Amino acid sequence: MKEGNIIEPLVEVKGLTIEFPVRSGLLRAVNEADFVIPKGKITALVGESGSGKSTMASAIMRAITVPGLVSGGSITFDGRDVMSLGKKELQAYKWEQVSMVFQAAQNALNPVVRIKEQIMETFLAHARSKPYTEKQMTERARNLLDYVRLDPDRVLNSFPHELSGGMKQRVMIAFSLLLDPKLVILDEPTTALDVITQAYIFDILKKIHKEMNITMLLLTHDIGVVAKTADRVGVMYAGNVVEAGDVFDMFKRPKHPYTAKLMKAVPSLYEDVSERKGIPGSPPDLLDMPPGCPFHPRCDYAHDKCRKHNPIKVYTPAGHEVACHLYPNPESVAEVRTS
Amino acid sequence: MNARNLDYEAELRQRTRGAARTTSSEVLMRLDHVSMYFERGQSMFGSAQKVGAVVDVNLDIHPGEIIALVGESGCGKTTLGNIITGLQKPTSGKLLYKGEEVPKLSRDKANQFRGEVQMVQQDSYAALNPMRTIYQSLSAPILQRKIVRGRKAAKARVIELLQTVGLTPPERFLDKYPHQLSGGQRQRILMARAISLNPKIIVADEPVSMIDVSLRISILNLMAELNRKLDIAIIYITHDLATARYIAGRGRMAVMYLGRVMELGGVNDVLSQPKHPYLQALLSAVPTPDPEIARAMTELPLRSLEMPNAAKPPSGCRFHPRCPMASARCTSEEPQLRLVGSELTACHYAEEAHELWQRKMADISAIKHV
Ligand SMILES: Nc1ncnc2c1ncn2[C@@H]1O[C@H](COP(=O)(O)OP(=O)(O)OP(=O)(O)O)[C@@H](O)[C@H]1O
Ligand SMILES: Nc1ncnc2c1ncn2[C@@H]1O[C@H](COP(=O)(O)OP(=O)(O)OP(=O)(O)O)[C@@H](O)[C@H]1O
Ligand code: SF4
Ligand code: SF4
Ligand SMILES: [Mg+2]
Ligand SMILES: [Mg+2]
Repeated sequence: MKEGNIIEPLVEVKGLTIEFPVRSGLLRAVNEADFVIPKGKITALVGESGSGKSTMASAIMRAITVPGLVSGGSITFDGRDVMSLGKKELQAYKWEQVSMVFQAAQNALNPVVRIKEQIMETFLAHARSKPYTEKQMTERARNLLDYVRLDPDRVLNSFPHELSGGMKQRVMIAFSLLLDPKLVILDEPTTALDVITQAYIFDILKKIHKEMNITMLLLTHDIGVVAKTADRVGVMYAGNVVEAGDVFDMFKRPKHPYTAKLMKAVPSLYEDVSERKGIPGSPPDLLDMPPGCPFHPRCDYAHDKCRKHNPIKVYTPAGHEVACHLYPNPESVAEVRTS
Repeated sequence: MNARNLDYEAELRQRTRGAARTTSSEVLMRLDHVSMYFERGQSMFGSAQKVGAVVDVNLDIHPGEIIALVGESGCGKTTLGNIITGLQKPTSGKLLYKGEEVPKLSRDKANQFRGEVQMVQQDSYAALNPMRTIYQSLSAPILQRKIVRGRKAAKARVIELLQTVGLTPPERFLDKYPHQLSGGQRQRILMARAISLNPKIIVADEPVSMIDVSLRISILNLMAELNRKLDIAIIYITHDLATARYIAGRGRMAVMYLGRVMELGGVNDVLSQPKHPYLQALLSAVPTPDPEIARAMTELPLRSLEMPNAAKPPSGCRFHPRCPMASARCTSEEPQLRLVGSELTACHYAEEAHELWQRKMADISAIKHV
């Protein structure tokens, strides 16, 4: 490992469990998950559809709504306990400490209100802790739009339908930066966009990250985007973070059998196509989870222990973590057991 | 058109005909100078705007071949797919199916054309009737076209189709409504409906865009298998070059920009020896799942990231405002497709662009091997 990898956490998630009551029972979307978001870094969270990425991120933003319930665990943000924030503290926490660009953000804008008015509303809601004058507000909005390479004059006076998908996406990114948050969560910011627009948006994000020293959490299906953008990667499977580590390590030497499969499931432009395979089987039914390790029905390395006991996560001093019986202790993580 | 251009035209025909894995020179479908202009309402100044969604496209489709159609959002891919399947009639140019002009087909042959050329739509929500069960949606067309007779045979065929597209156990899906299925499952229903009519051509428009990676490969494999086993020609429309390469490995690729085909050739040639500066930019933008390569490719070779207005395409080469290699000639003279190496490319400076690309790739592979 390279030096300087000691992680200073901005967010610490411990044993987090989130449940939704559904008709046929209680669905555990997040299941005793542990996760750390290091300060000043770009962390990516990957995993199949339904693995719990958006749910866990919403909990960090304190945006889980009824009937969803955080039924266990804790979230610490910069040393503060997020779950116990009172109403007033919460209002200042959201958008000023952490902001989120939600999945399908293009649809999050109010269709009948001009962009300018929507921005002003957000400022006014936070006037107590960030008392800007109207002139300052406009100034800041213009700067941010300029930052994401939009023409402020045109965009501020537009209704959402007058902007293309890529433009709306950038407006939402500007929005998320309005109140100088420490953490920005981006949920699938570019899925519907072509590669050139995508590259463009990630360029902007990296620049913002560097210049404003903002911590970022990126939720995505797209392994290619992770390879290009992230410093650290967490992998979610069935509501749990089963592996996390430095981006280069995760791609070169994935430890968890699921991570290894996930990395191989992407068609690449530069590698031998025949090496790319889908992940056999389907994600587990969250209402009827297999006993033991939830990945065992799809795992090539599954053994007796896997069918009985859920593995406990081990942590290496270098900042790698993995939950799999192939790695019973931190020392064993040095060996790669997947292929 | 001058004599030189006519030569290129002949060359183009030669190339696009004798392509890929088919040994037969038989042409299933021919697009002959096909264009599609949309009138866009009255503008502020009173005159209607014309958007060239597809401009002067020539393409031969052979039995059993795979053609990937790629390009930025809004470049005309779906419109071209609609033209191939007869859903939209081009504003100029000819569409020939088995040698005959489509609008002039006899009733029987037109009916045959509609059955043999199928489309898997980009929007799988919109493409399925929300009031019908999967069984109803799949059995109606095969009963109507008398591919099977009787309810019993229809049910057996529907079950077989569901199995073919990997929806198992099939009985579980028969009585479901579209909203009860995930995006990936709906996309496979559309695939099942397309193959149920024994097609010769399937136009698949972004069939995996909504599906996460683990399922994506299995759907692409399914299409490749249909192509191999049933000899169905596949037109795979996408903005994702990596999946295009995956499915069309031995087929051809057409790269579109603002309605025009800018590069056409065998998939591996197009991707490994790109000539057109636009294609090179597109390739540079593909996020590759390797952190070292991904980070080595920093700046995109583009002067501007904004897509120009299709109603007012730039003069000369329509890529020139964004092209890092553009010269004065590019602003006035529109490049025609010509043979460069083993592909057709529409760029005045394709040779120079190709050389630059090769140098860049050498630098990147040097990174890989330190
Ligand atoms: N409001 C809700 N009510 C019931 N179930 C829910 C609700 N929100 C999420 N879920 C369930 O929780 C699980 C996790 O969902 P989540 O949206 O977090 O997944 P994800 O990893 O973000 O997936 P994707 O990649 O598709 O966005 C899913 O099974 C989902 O159906
Ligand atoms: N019915 C229509 N009326 C007017 N303009 C249209 C119509 N259909 C398409 N266009 C225009 O034609 C151009 C090509 O659109 P098309 O849908 O073919 O693009 P595409 O390459 O499929 O894009 P995407 O990747 O976003 O699906 C666009 O500028 C679009 O706005
Ligand atoms: S614990 Fe066992 S089943 Fe689970 S991932 Fe590890 S080897 Fe596979
Ligand atoms: S013709 Fe000129 S502007 Fe067009 S792609 Fe070639 S170099 Fe660029
Ligand atoms: Mg999500
Ligand atoms: Mg389209």
